[in-house]
Amino acid sequence: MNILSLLLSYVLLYKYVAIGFALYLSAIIVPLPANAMMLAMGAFASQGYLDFWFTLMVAVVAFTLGDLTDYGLTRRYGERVTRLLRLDKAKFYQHLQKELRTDAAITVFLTRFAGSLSSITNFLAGLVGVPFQTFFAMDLIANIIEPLGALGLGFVVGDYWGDYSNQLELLTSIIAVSVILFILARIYQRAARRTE
Amino acid sequence: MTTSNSSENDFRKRIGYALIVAAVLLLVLMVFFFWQVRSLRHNQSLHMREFRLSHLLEGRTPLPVSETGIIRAWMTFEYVNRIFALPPEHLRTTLAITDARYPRLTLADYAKEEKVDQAVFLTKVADAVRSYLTPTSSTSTPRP
Repeated sequence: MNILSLLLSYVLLYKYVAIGFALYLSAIIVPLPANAMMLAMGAFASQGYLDFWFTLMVAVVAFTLGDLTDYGLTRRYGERVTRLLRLDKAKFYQHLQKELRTDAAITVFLTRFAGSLSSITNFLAGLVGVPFQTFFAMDLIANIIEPLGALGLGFVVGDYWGDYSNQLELLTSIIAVSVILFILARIYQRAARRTE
Repeated sequence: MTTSNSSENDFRKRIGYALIVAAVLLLVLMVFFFWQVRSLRHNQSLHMREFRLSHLLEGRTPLPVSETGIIRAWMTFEYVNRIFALPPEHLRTTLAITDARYPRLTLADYAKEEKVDQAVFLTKVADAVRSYLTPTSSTSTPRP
């Protein structure tokens, strides 16, 4: 049995507790197929096995708590780790830190749609000291939109959700690379302006 | 000033390289994505259903007999009962299940514990569902 099948069995057996736990772990950084799960849960809701709105609420809370865990960890211990790895002395790291802080809100918002890039951004956001209010607000808004989209798609395609999970994973990767491209382009633009 | 400028140039150069790599990766991913969507269309497996807000609030109707092929090992008996609107005891009676955890038990776990081949067991479950949903079948349980 693959990991998705195992997770779906737990969702069918323990419903919202399993959903919350699995999505929380995936938000932290555990590589679980959260998008395929969301599609399946949307389908379960369309069959009347789960309540759509309650599932959405559980997903939003789990994702947000997971993101805050990452952010809190690096906010608390990140500086010590960077000092230990001597990253704080590296010029490239200093530049990157400054640039990420400048684009914090948009980066946090966009990366919620970019799969595992979201967890990496959480760690970075804590590390570069993105203000808590900014992080929380952007995280929460995007964490409502993203699961709503995935659950909604699962609800619409219903029993055929399996046909779409690969496409959704690929779409997530496209968004992730697009976000990276967008951030890099903005950084490049600012660096070019400075050197002119 | 010169050191600062050279470090700035170096930073810009690295970001430029990263930009090129990311752009190429994006292009490759997009080609794959469109290719997959095309093959989905080609196989005529785009099954978008009509979306109504009332469905979100009230749930859907049970699956018909033609959909028994969707039964998978990770499903629980409870879930199978629910999606096909079977009476809670139909599968237990038809498949002679004695496990106390029924219906909160996955088909895979039951097959494993009973040392039955999973594929064979799934076929039996599908037959049991069909026997209920097809009223003319001799093995069908009378509907309430």
